Formats: sequence, C-alpha cells, structure tokens
Amino acid sequence: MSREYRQWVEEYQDQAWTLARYLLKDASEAEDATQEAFVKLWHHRDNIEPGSIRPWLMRVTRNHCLDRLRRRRPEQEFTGYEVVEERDPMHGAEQSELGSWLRRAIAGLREPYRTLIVLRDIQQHSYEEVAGVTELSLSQVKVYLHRARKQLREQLAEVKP
Amino acid sequence: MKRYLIALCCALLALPAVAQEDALRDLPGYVDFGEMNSIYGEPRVNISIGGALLGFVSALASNEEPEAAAIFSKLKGVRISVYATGGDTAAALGQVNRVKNLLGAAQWSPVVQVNEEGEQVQIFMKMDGEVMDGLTLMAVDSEEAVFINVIGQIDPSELAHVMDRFKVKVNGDLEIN
Amino acid sequence: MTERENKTTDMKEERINALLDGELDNEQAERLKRDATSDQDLARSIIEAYQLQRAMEGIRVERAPASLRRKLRRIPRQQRPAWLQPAWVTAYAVVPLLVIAVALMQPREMRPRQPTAAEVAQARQDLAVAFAYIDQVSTRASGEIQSELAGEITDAVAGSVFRTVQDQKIL
Repeated sequence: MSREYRQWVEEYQDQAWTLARYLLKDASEAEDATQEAFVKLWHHRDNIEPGSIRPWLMRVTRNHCLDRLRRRRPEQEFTGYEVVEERDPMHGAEQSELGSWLRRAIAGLREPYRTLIVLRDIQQHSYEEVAGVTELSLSQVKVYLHRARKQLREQLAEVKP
Repeated sequence: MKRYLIALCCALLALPAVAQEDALRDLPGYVDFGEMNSIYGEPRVNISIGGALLGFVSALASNEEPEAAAIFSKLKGVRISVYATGGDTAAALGQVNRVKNLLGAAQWSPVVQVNEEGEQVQIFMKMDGEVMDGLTLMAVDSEEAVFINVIGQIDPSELAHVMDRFKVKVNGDLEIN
Repeated sequence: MTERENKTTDMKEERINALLDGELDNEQAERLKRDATSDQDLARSIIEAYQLQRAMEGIRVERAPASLRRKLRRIPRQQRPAWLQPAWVTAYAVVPLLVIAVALMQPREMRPRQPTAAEVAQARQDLAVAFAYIDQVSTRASGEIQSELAGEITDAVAGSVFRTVQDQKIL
C-alpha cells in the first residue's frame, strides 16, 4: 500500500500543486492545501476506486483551496501569480512573457472558470473528469469552459502586438 | 532545556564512554561511522554502551524482564549518534555511502536499502552462522542523520520481542523525567 | 449581454471549441470554415482560439517544490497510529537508585571497575533511546520491505523485519 501511495504521489503531486497554486496564488498556502489533500487520500485510499484516484484527489484539493479562499479576509487577497521556482530547463517555454501573462490571466479568472481552464486546458483532464472534480454537469462544464476561453482570448488579443 | 539535559547526561558519561568505545573497536560487529562533528556540530544524541554496563543492566532486569536480561547479557555494545542535518544532507549521505562501501567489503549483508531524493535508509547485518554479530542502521533525511551500531550475539527474533516491551512510549519530544 | 445574445455566443463558442477539441466531423468542420470566410468575427475568434491553445501548451503543469514532495512522501509514516509512531523517546522515570544499589550489592563476581548506580540507570535510559531510534529507522524502512516481501510482514515493528529476513534465509 505504501508503494501504491508513493506512485500516486509521483503521478499526481504536480497536478494537485498546480491547481492549488492557481486557486490560492500563494505558494505556501498552496503547499499546505496540497498536503491536506494527500493526507485525506492516504486515509481514504481503501474507499476510492482505483481509476478514480486522480479526479478524487483533484476534487479534494480544489475543495481545500476553496475553503481557504472563503476563510481569507478581504485584505488578504493575492492578486499576482508569480512563478517562484524556475529551475527546470524543460519548462523554458514557460518563462516567456506570454506564458507569464497567461498564468496571471488564468489566476485572475473567477471560479469555476479558473478551475476549468486549469483542469481541461492545462492538465488535459477529460470533460467527464472535469465534471466530476467540479461537481458540475457535462453541459455546464462545456458552457463555462467556452466562456472562460473567450474571456482569455479577448484579453490575449488586447496584449498581443 | 530537554536537549541540555541530554547533553549533560552525555557529558557525564563522556570519559567512561570513550573507554567503552575503545573496548568495542576490535569486535567483529563494530562499525566506524567516521566523524561528522566538524560538519553538523555536536550530535543531539551520542550513546555508547559497552559490555560492562550492559551486563549490569541485564542483571538489573533479570527479575522483572528476564527476556530482556537474556538479550542484554549477549550484547557487547550499543552505539548511536544522531545529528541534526538542518536540511543539509549532502555530507551525511556521503558518509552513509562511504560506510556502506566499507560494510560491503567487510562482508556485512544488506537488509534494506532505501534511496530517495535527499533521503536514505540503510540496514546491514553481520552474520556468524545463524546469529548476528552486529547490526547497523543508518538513516538520513532533511531533519536528522541517525547512525546505530548494535554489537554482539543477537538473535533477531528475541531482540524484536524485547524491543516491543522495553521500548518506552514515544510521543512528541525527547523528555527525561 | 441579453440571454439571447448569451445563447448565440455560447453556440458559436461551442462550435469553435469543438473544432479545437477535434470533436467535429469533416462535414461540420467544413461548414464552420465556410461560415468563417463570410463572418470576420467568427474567423478572428477561431484564430484567437488556436493562438490561446498554443499558448496553453507552453504552460503545462508546474513542478511541485521539493519541500512539498518531501512532505507528501512522509505522510504514511506520519499518519501511523500513535503506538507505531517512531519518534523521540519519553524516557523511563528514573529507576530508584536505592533499588539499583541493592541489586548491585548482590552479585558475588565483581569486575575490577564497577559502574555506579547512576551509570547503570543512565545506560538503561540510553538503551531505551537507542531502541526507539532502531524502531524509527526500521519502521521507515518497513514500508519498502512490505512491498518487497509481498505481504509476509504482519506488523511494522523491527521484529517482524528481522524475523522475516531470517526465515527467508535472505542473507
């Protein structure tokens, strides 16, 4: 069981972390929320269908993040999304100005648009998985996703030369 | 306060500990872990118990814990050093690898080898037929580096059973009442 | 935007996104392209959608920081029940020195240098500390042993590790 859990950590830690980062913006809070989600995963591991680990984990991660957002006082709003650690050369493309702008734009979307973009467009979850994570219907996911992409496109059109 | 108490206890035993350490070096189950004080400072735990003291602990335990007494009577030494790594594990990991190579050359058998990013756990046994002459455990992570050497005639099945009963309750921090 | 305008926009966006997701068949895709040649807004939206998709490909998943990775790996160890928890030791209450002194008076065979009662008491405490650390290290390793020895370990304390290794004559 420990080996299985370690496999889950290897496979999903980056995705859970990425979602938490976009939702909370603050790296330290995102780390805590991600850790809380994995603690829950450890405790509930026997009750989750093997094929449902990823959506389950992402849903729990999102819920922990939303709880934290609700508890935040207005003056605690974090407006920026800055990539603090830029060590991985494989992510060279992300360091481009467009990438930085896009990350900030996504972080600036309101929920559930932000989660939908992260899950579908960045992490490539299926529509069904996205629906499971966000607890929206499939048609709601598609409609909201369209609106979110449109919003980003319009912002992108304004900044691109 | 608790850590100072540990340091004080260790200091009080320093002289006899050195003498005990020298007596252990020639035993087949002895392992020299090398020196790391210059890198990590004074170890937070530094214990070396030789055969003489173990004999008296055994005698003391003979009435209440006869199984423990039987184990202790066959042990020749128990040594443990624990260093606070403070996140800097490179030196400790290097030391573990060095000792691992020495143990391999001295025909110690690996039992467990766990290698992860910035962490290691290594357990080795030295066998004399069916019984162990020595047991070595090394564990390094971002918080501490632990080096343990148990020397003497050890029957693992007996040791584990005694450990269950002898080991004190564990909780948050090291306390000495 | 009115409800009607919203619906119209949503339908247009649905077609564009279906094109990007590869969900349109050939006929539907051709129809969309034909519509775009006569509708500049639609054409612009399609181009922008492709640009956004390419930009998204450049910002895939962000790697979790090393500190988080370590914390996540430690969760099984930290979440064990208290009675299995390896950690610091709460030492025995100090064995009454009187009891030790009496016990030490009994043996007839005396070694040349007899430890003091305090030294024996300290050794007892030290052994407890040492055993706690042995348990800590072996419990950390037991997770790996569980997977390697496939279910032959029945509990996580050091004893099972050594018994199983001994039984299997691995050495």
